[in-house]
Amino acid sequence: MSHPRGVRLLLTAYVYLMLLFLFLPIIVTIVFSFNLDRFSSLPWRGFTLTWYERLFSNTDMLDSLKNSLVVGLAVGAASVVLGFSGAYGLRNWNARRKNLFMLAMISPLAVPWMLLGLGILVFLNNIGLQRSLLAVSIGHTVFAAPLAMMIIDARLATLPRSLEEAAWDLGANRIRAVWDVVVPQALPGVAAAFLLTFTLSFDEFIIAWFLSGFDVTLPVRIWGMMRSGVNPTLNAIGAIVFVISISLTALSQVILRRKEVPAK
Amino acid sequence: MFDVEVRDITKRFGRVLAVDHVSLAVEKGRFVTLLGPSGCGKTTTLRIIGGFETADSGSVLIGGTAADELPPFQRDTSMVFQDYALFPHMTVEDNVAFGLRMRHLPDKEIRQKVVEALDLVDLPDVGSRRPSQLSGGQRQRVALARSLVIQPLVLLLDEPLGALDAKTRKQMQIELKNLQKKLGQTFIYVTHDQEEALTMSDVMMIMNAGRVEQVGTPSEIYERPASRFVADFLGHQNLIAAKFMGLDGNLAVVAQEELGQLRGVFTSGRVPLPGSDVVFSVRGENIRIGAPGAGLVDGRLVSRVYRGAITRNTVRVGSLEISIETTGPQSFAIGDLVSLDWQDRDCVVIGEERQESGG
Amino acid sequence: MAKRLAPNTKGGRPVKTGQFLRGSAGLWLAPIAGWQLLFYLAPVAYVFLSGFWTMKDFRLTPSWTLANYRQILSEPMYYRAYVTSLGLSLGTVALTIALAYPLAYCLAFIVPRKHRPVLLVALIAPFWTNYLVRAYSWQTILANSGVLNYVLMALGIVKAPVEILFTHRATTIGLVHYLLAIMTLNLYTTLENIEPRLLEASQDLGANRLQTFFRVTLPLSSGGLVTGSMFIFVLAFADFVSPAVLGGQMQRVFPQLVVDAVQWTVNWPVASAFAVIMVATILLIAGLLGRKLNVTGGAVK
Repeated sequence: MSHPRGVRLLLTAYVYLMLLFLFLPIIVTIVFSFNLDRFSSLPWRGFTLTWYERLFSNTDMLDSLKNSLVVGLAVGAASVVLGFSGAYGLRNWNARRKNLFMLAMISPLAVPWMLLGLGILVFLNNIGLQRSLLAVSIGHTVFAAPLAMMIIDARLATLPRSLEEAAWDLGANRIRAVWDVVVPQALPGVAAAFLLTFTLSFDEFIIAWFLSGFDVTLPVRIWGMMRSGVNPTLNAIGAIVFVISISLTALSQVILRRKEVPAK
Repeated sequence: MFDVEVRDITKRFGRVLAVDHVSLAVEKGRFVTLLGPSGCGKTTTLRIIGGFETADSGSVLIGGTAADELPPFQRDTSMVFQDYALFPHMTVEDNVAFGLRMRHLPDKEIRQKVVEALDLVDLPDVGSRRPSQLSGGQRQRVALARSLVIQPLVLLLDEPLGALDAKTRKQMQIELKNLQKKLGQTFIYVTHDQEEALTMSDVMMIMNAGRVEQVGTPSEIYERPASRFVADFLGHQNLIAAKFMGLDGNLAVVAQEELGQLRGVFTSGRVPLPGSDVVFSVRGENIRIGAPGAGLVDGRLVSRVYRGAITRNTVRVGSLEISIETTGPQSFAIGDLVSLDWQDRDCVVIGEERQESGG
Repeated sequence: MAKRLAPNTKGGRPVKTGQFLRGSAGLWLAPIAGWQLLFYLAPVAYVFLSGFWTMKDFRLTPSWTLANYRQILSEPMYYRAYVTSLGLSLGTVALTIALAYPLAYCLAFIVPRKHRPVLLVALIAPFWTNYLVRAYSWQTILANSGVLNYVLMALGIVKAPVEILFTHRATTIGLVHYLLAIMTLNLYTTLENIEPRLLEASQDLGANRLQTFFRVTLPLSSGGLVTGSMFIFVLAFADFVSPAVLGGQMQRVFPQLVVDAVQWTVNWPVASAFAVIMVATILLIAGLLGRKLNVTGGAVK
């Protein structure tokens, strides 16, 4: 259905307006991280790197950054392993059964994470585990592993069954065939899943807040800083965090969209 | 002892009966073809032999030993898949070497065997390339080399030439046959192309809707089809309903409304009762067109289709349209009255009941 | 070629063909299923159960009492927080629909196909960034001395700063900004799936574009609207970040009560009871919305 030119122009302008709206906080943070003024506002007072310098001398901040990186890597690794195993296991299932299982596994993504955070806190406590980075990693993996499974499953769907059969035919048992043939073919999906789950974990605040003990992750540290008044270094760390997230997300999209030349 | 023996296997997919009591015995060194239309069960049978499906009942023996409990990686067979199934992330060399690596051969031996295998299929220089950089025909050969290098007892081929263009196909058919003969390798080959099967096979097994229609050499099957289906599938044009009258020596005598009394070789097993319906078949290339009155029946030439090497003529006799294949220039024009003549021994009488002839 | 190479029959457990081909899916699915059972289902069950327990000497004891719920239901402040949350989330849903629909519509019908993937990725990208930092950024934008007010005053649109920060308006903006991408994507997918022929048929039968929209496009997209709304409501109702950062401490929201119970009083049973009430509300509203979907129905082809 075609639309008159006026409507088209108006709506297209609207799209770009919305894009601006969505990117506004990100742009503002990055821009004002270089602002001389303590208060992030206009008029512009001058360019400075002070806030970044202060950031790098703030050991608490650096520690929490390191913690977030470690947790992110752990969550990424765990999610990818659990996700691959799940996706491979689902290959032979018919659509209905598979969808039911997927739905069940994915439900944590639709559930308020406050509920997850609180629940895991109470549950872990009851089995003797304290709040810790390990607890945070466990909590994050709950929603990250199904996501990884979905991404890897989509990738595995493009793998013709005959490739595995050929590997078996030539003498590989199932594990060998998975390692030599399935995994290399699934690699773009695995890589993208790793990047996305890392990013999600790196940015996640709510579950981390419930489950962090003495060692906190970066978002929890930022929360603490926010409670104690205006702090321009927040813009600096915010800018860094934004750049990391967007880069990793973009990278995962590039990896996923790279068309493989089919073997036939 | 047969290289492969399939004993009365049956396989259902849901409610569909894909393979219906199929039996087959393959001798060493033979080129055996499973031929039939799509969905007839030939590929399923092949996959059951290879270990990629399990039969619901019946058994498979490979090299004399029961193979039913063996997964594909323990069977002494190797399959060339329809889509070649070359591993895209490995080079041609690594692809061919895969089976050898699984058998834990020393590297040096592997390298040597890979070179030999690629030489065998006439691709000596592509070792370090990836499958995506090869043409369809080249990929097909790599798949072949990969399967042959592990020296399987039997090579299984699932319509391997299906994706190639006509010229490459014809070329590959000859090469495959030569390779098979040279190596003395037992081949079980699946195709829906009857010309291909006739060209390459030592033994053909025609399948239809999961059942075996006929097993025999190409000439047996082509010249003496045992059922209407086989005759039709192999391109016999003139399948005429007739009534069985009796036997005259080793020829069957039938009566047909418009053509009168006809004789032909009886191909099916049981002799039917007089009066039963049978099918009379005379192949287009065995009929001669002549001047009216000079042959067995008269008719009118109604159409002619030029097909390069042969010309297909259609002559109407009463309500029947008979198809005749001729070569060279014709002396008759469309609309002329002509006569048709043939030899009894070139005709076939097929019982309506589908017979199961043994292998 | 000299001797033949026998296939590898040694090594590994013997496995039958049928079993091998079926592939023991259970084994491969066990890790992730086990993980979810242990760290998702069990914890959620714990939340539900511990709402009936009490905290004695900093230990969770299964006392099986309704005391927690009685405590919650007797406190008017909690009611206010509940209503505040309800109002905020419903308002967020409404505003998100209003903003997302034209966006999704334009993407589905007007933007040329080759531009779509890029635009969609651009729309989703902010969603994958740190929500907390984004909320903080809105704080600086919406403050009385912030970017928005500076621009508005510089352009002469207003004389004095508009009070947005630390009001419900700011919270709503924060929530909408967070959740817009979800609704947009959902609507986009739904709109994209509408058979173009239906729209052509409508115009063919004499409806102008506006009528086509209201009589064909809108009803057909009701499915996407409802599922999107359910999602938005769930996430908005349970969110305490935007209200805390942008709404100020004046008006509490319901999820904040869970946080307070955990943080200040370390009263996990009460926190759980709050959480259960929260989940019950979410399920109720989501269920109602889902019912509405069945009532209005999809299009009859």
